[in-house]
Amino acid sequence: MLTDTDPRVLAHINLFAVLGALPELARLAPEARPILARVDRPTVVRLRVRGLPERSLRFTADGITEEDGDGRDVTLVLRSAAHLNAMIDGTAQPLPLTGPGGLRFLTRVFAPLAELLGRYLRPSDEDLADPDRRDACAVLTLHVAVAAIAQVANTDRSGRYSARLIPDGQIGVEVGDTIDLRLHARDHALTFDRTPASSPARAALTFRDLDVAGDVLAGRASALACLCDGRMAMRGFIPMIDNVSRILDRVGHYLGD
Amino acid sequence: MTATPVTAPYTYAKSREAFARAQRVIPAGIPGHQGPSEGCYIPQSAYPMFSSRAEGSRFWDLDGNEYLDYMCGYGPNVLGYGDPVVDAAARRQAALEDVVTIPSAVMVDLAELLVDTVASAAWAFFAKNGGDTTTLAVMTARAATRRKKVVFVEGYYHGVAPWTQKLDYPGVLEEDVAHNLSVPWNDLEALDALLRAHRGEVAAFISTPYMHGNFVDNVLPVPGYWEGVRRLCDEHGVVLIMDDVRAGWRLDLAGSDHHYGIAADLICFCKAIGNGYNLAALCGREELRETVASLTYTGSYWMSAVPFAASIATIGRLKELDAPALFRRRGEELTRGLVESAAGHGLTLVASGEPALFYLRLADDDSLMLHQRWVAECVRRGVWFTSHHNHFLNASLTSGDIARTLEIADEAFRIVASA
Repeated sequence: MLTDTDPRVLAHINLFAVLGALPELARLAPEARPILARVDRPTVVRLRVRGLPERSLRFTADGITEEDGDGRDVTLVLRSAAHLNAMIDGTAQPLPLTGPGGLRFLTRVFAPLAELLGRYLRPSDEDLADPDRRDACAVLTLHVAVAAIAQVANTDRSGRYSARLIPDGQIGVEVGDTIDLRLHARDHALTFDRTPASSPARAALTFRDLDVAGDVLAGRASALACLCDGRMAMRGFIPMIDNVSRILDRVGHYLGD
Repeated sequence: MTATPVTAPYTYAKSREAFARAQRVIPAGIPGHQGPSEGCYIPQSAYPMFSSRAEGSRFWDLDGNEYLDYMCGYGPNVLGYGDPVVDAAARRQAALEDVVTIPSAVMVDLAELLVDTVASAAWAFFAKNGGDTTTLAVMTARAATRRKKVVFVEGYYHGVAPWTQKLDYPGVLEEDVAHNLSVPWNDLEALDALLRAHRGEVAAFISTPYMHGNFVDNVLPVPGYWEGVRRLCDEHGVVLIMDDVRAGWRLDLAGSDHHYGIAADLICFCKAIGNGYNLAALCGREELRETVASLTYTGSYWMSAVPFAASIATIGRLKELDAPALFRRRGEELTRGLVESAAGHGLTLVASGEPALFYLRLADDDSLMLHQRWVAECVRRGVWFTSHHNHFLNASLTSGDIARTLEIADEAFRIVASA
């Protein structure tokens, strides 16, 4: 167990897992639709962080996709991993490279969506009292957590140690019979595959329902206790689950309170 | 032709009630390897949570379901639950004394028996759990060599003390495992290279007598492996620790190092040493006696007399029965029958490791899901196998028990093959 965290790993999580949840937010959150309706033409936001791979998100009135492509170009420059982390925390601003239309897009679309994402990832008690809102929060949190597992497995020292013990194959993270997210392990590197699962996983970790997933990912319930009492289940090649669970614990060091 | 009778699957209402109580007062309900998580109860609903009594090769759960037990309490049950000879010896000692201010001389009797029985032992030091002895062994090696590093074999398990765990385990500091090195099993070249790279830094090489890791086929030492390890340890002044906690007393009563043709410097025993009476022992060669004597290492119950008496009786019975030969015969009979039964349903069951501690794996898919379903069907019908761990035999197991096991296993194979 490492007792410290690495700002560069957190930046990878923020760039690929947290901001990577924007497309899912656009699909899930009713409040996202009126914000996206303000998109006057397709806009590609490029996040350029020194020392990290560039990240592009394409916004249209219909939704958000993880791709480059045609459209207005908005580049956000961040001078370091720490600068990106501060931006996600709301304590720093990026340097925007764009025209007036791009600046309007940032204030009228990007910033409100980022704020909405924060509300879904850190829901209030009032949010959790609404069953639909609670489910949406849990789904988004699950997407962020699974995406963060891949980032931590590939960039964090403890995560890489765990990933070294994961053989090739697909690891399913399931919620009941409705959600089946996949991590692909190859040569001890993990990738989060956002496309629907098309072949059997070699190992799977299953949450009974979204309430259990939300409780475990928020630290309100212990995964071990849930495995013992049946609220969670595992099957398949268990060392894959065991090591993914250790990486998930490490994700908590970065994203927990 | 008559249809094969189908065994009704067990149900576990009372176990579930007790587990609900446990959850309120015990973290995770049943933490550790005897619980549903680390015990790999897959699916959890197929398994009982609590036993109510045990006898010979069997135990019964809270709902009265009977199991032929191939885990033997994860090893301690070596003669049979409630062996009358061992229990009588324990009762006699209990009538005299158990935990007292100064130890009973029965401790000396057992130490003498171990020195006479274990080929590499010049002395014995007693504790309670296997991890007590592996920790003592590593402390001894470090004290004797004044070196820090310890070489493990990949996939190792030597207990739960922080030094035995890994960098990514919660509650374990990086400093706890900073001096841990590892090599692949059966790889003398890698060990040679590692010891050369860390010349003068390695205190100990610690290993089980063969690779009996979880979730993978178990692997015996290749010819010349242990002799090579012994030679390299001697060349580099490294203490050779054999962790015989799991395999001890089932392969060779003189120690598993003796079984594989070498003498370890230190050898760790627990599990089967007392047929369930709580005891562990570290034995070692003469040159390390004074080092062990210099260590600060003790525990409240480590010199309790009843387990010493039980252990003397256990070792005596194991010798009378020539238990290692019995375990080999029974293990071969059982695993041969299981493999044939699987083949009859078009399935490929791999039995690996020593027959006394056989490991099973259905090799028809690489996910172990098919294997987990088969094991669950066996448990639900009264044969306690595990899907992740090697098994253990006990001396009370009969050919009749094996025949019944094969019937149930065959039914379980049929169920999973037809699913």
